[in-house]
Amino acid sequence: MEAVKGTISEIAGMKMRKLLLQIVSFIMIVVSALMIWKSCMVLTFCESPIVVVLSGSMEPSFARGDILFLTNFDQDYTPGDIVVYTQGSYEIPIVHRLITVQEIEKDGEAYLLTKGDNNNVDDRGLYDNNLTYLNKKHILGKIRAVAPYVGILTILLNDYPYLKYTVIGGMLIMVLVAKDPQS
Amino acid sequence: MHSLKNRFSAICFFTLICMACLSLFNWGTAVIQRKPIDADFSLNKMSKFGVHPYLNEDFAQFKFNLQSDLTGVFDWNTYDLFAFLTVEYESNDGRKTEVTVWDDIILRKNTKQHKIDYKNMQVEYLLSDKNKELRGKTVQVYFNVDHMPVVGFTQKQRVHVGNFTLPEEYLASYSAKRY
Repeated sequence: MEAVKGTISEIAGMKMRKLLLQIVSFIMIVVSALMIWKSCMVLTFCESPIVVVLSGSMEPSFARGDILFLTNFDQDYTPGDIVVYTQGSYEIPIVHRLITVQEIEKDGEAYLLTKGDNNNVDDRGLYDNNLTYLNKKHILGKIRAVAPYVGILTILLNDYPYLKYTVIGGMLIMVLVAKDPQS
Repeated sequence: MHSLKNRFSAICFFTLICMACLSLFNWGTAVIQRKPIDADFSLNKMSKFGVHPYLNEDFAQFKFNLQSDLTGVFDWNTYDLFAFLTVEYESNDGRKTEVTVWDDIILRKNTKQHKIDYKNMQVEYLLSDKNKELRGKTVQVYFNVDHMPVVGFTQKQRVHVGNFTLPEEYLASYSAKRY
C-alpha cells in the first residue's frame, strides 16, 4: 500500500504533468479568443465584425489605426453608407463609402459604386476584371461604430515585423514560464 | 507586492477604464444637442445629357445652387460632417436608384465651411443610369449629412430639398461626341 502511494505521488510530482498543464492553459487562451471572435461573426452576420483602418483613404473621418465595428444583417444599402468590401485578387478588405446604388431587381441585387472620401476619383480603377460596379456579394458589411486609435498596435505590428516576432515570442515565454496558481 | 510590473499594469488598466467611461459619456450625451438639417436646392443649368460611350449608360451633368446652415448640426461627439447631395428616382418597373452627385467634408475647425452657400456649382459625379431611362424622368433631390463621430455610432440625417425633370431628348450638342 505504502509503495503504491509513493509511486502515485512520484508521478504527480513529475515535470511532465506541469508542462502539459501549461500547454493546455495556453491552448485554452487561444481557443477562448477564437470562440469570442466566432460568436461575434454569428451575431453580426459578418465575416469580419471588427476591422482596423489600414490606409488614409477615408481621412479625416477615419485615420490609420481606428477600429471599426460592422454588421451585415441589413443589406439595404444607401449612398453614404460606409462599407467594407473585397473583390478580385485583393485580399485586403477596403473601407470606402458608397456613392451609387442602383437596383437590378426590386428589393434585391444592386449595382454599387464606392469611393474613398480622401480620393479624387471613384474606385473603378481598383476593381478587377473591368468591373464597373460592385454587387452585394462583394460587400462584407456596413460600418456602425468607430473607436479611434485602438488598433494602432496592429498597424505597428504590420509595419515592423520584428516587433511582431518579439511580442509573440514574449507572450509565449510569459505563458509557459508563468507560475501556475494551482501549484 | 508593489513591483514595477504591478504598478505598470494597474496604471494601464485604470487609464483604459477611464477612457472607456469618458467615451461612453461623450457618445451618450451628444444626442441631446442635435438639430434637424435644412437646405435650399435649385437646379441652374443642364450642361451635358447623353449616352456615356464607355459605360454605355445615360448620364447627365448639371449645375446647381445650394444653401444650408450646418452650424448647429455639430455636437461635441462630431469629428466632422460628411454632407452629400443624392438624386433618387424609380425606373419604369419600380426599381430604386440613388446616386450621389456632390459631396463635401465639413471640418469642425473650419467654421467658414459650416454655412454652405454654393452658386452655379458643377456636380462632382455624373448622374448616370444603367437602364437608360433618364429622358423625361422626374427625380427627387435629397440633402444628407453623415455624422462622423469621435467615438461611437455613425448617424445619418436627410431632408428632401426638391425635384427636377430631365429633358425629353438628349442634348444635341453632346450626344454624338466622344467622352
